[in-house]
Amino acid sequence: MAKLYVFGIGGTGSRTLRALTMMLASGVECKFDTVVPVIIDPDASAADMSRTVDAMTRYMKVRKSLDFNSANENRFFKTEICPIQDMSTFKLTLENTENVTFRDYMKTNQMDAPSKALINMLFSQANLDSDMVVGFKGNPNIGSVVLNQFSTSDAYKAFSNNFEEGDRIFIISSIFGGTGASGFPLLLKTLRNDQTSQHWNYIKNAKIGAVTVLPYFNVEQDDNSGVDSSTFYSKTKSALAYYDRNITGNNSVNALYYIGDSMLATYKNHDGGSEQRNNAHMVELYAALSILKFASTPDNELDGRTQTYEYGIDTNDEDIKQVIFKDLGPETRQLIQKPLTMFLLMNKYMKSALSSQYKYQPWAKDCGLDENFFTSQYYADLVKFQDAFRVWLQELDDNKRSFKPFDENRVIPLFDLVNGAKAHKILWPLHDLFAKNYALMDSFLNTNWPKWNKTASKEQKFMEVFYRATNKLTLKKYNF
Amino acid sequence: MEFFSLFYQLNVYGQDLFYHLKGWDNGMQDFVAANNQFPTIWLVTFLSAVAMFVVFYYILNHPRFNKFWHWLIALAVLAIGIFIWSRGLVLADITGASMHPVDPSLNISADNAMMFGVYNAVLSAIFFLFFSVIGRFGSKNCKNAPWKSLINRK
Repeated sequence: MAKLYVFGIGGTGSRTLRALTMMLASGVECKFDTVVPVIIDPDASAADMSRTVDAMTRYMKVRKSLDFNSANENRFFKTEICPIQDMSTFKLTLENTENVTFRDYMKTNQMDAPSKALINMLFSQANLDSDMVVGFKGNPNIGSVVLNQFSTSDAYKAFSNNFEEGDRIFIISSIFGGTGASGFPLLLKTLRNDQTSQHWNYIKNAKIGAVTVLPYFNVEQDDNSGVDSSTFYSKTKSALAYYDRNITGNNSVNALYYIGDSMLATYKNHDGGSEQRNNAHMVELYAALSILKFASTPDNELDGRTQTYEYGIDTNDEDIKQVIFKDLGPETRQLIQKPLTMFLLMNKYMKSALSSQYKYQPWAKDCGLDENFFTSQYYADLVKFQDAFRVWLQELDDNKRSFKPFDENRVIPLFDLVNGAKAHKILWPLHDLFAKNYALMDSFLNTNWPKWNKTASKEQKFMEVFYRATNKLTLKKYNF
Repeated sequence: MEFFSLFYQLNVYGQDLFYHLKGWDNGMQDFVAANNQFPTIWLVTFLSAVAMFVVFYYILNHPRFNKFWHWLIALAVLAIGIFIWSRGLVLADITGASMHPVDPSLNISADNAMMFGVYNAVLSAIFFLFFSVIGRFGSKNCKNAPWKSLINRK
C-alpha cells in the first residue's frame, strides 16, 4: 500500500496537519491508505505542534481497534496515520539547536577573520545572538543554515530507508515566517539531490507536492519580539522570486498550491514555545485540502511542468467575514460537508445524550455496549479526540476570516446546526416523524442494518453504528 | 364448548354472569347462540391488544418510550380501557339499557360486573404480553421492551 509522507514545517505545518487529522477522523476521503506525517519544527515546546501531535497520537489509538475490511462501512478514522516506520515520534528532531545561540551553532569563535566578516555581512547581531530554542523567529536566513542537517537526522534516514516506489511526498510550509520559508526549499533540495539516501532512486522520481501558505495573519507589534509582521509581505515577495527560479522554475516539485487570505487575523506576538498557540484558521483547512487534492491527482497529471493551483471561495463577496459550506466550491463542499456534519452529530450525541440512553437503546444493548465499554480507555480516547475536534471547529469559527459551517452549540432543533442548510422533516416511517432531535438520532442508530458483521469488536460496532446512522441521517435531513 | 367461551371459563366473576354472557334463555332452559356475547367481547379484547401492540411497537415505536415502565404504561392503558368497557357492558345489561337485558332468573350484581371487568382486563394484558413476546423483534426502537429480545441482529 502506497504511503503519503507529509512534511509539516513550522507552526503552519503543524496546524495544517491538525486540520488534516480532523478531516481524516471525520472520514473525508484520502486516496492514500496511509498518511505519514513528519513535523519539522526546531521549537520543541511549540503549543501548536503539541496539540497536533496529541491529536494524531489519539487518532492512532482510536483507529488501532478498528477494522476497515469490505464488510464494514465505517469511514471515520479510515485513513491510517502513523509515524515513519521505526520511529516512535512524528517529529524530526534537529540536533544542537537547544540552549545555543545561532552564533554558537555556527561556531563563529572558531572561524578565521574573513569568514567572520562574511558572517557579519549575512547575519545581523540580533540574528547571531538569537536563541534557537523557540525556532528561527521569522528569520529564514537562520533556518536556511540550521535546516541543512535534514539528511543526517534519524527521522530522515528512517524515511529514506522505508520509502517505496509509488509513495508520494507532500510539504507544508508558510512563506512569510522563518522555519517554513527556509525549510521548504532545503527539504526539496535534499529530497531530489541527496544521493546518499538508501532509496534515493525512488525518492528522486517520486511525485512531490507542496503547499505554500502566503500571509494570512499578523502579529501584534512588540519591539521585544523577534517576529515582526510588517516584514511578512517583503519576505513573501523575496521567497516567491526564489521559488520561481529554484522550485517551479526547475520543476523540482510536481504540484504547488498557493493559499493565502487578504483578510488578516491578528494574533498575540510570541516568539514561540508553549505560548505560541494560534487558533485554527480556514487557510490551514484549505492547505490540508490541498494535500487531499494532491493525493487524488493521478500520476499522469503530475508529469512534466510543475502544476500550480490556487484555492478560492465561491462567493461574490470578497469581504465575507463568515464562510459557511455553501460559500465553498462544489468540489470542496462535496468532499467535506457530509463527513464533518456526520462527525459533529456523533460528537453531539456522545456529549449530550449517550450517558442517559445507552442503557435503554437497542443499538447499545444489541451491540453489547455496556458500562464497561463506556468507561474503557478506548472510549476515553475517542471522547478526548472528539473534544479536540470541537475545539478545532470553535477556533475556526472564532478566527478572522471565520469559517462557521455549524452552529455547533445548538441544542434544539438539533438539525438546524448546519448553517445555510435546511433540515427536512422526515415524514416516513411514522415513528421517525414523531421522534425529534437526539431521539431521532437514536431511531436511526437503532436501525436493523443489513450486512452487519456480528462478530466485530465492540469498538468496531460502536463506530459502525454511528457511521451508518449519521450517514443515513444526513442524507434524509439535508440531502448531503 | 365453543372457542370464545373457553377464555371466560374461570369462575371468578360469577356463574350467573357467565350464563348470561353465553346467552342463557330461562324459557328454553338452554343457551341461545344469537345471545352469546363472548365472541364480541373476545374480539374487542383481542383486537384492542393487537392494536395496542401495533401502536406501541410499530407506529409510535419511539426511542424515548421504549423502557420497561413505558411498556407497562401501554399495558395499563389497554387493561384499564378494557376494564371500563367490559364493566360498562355488563352494567348496561343489568340496568336493561342494552340489547341483552339480564334474565330475571339470574342473580347478577354490580360486583359481578366489576370482577368481569378485571377478568377481561387481565385477559387483554395476557394477549398484549403474548404479542410482545412473539412480535416485537421487528420493532426498531422498542424491541427490548419489556425485556431484552432474544433475537439480535447486531
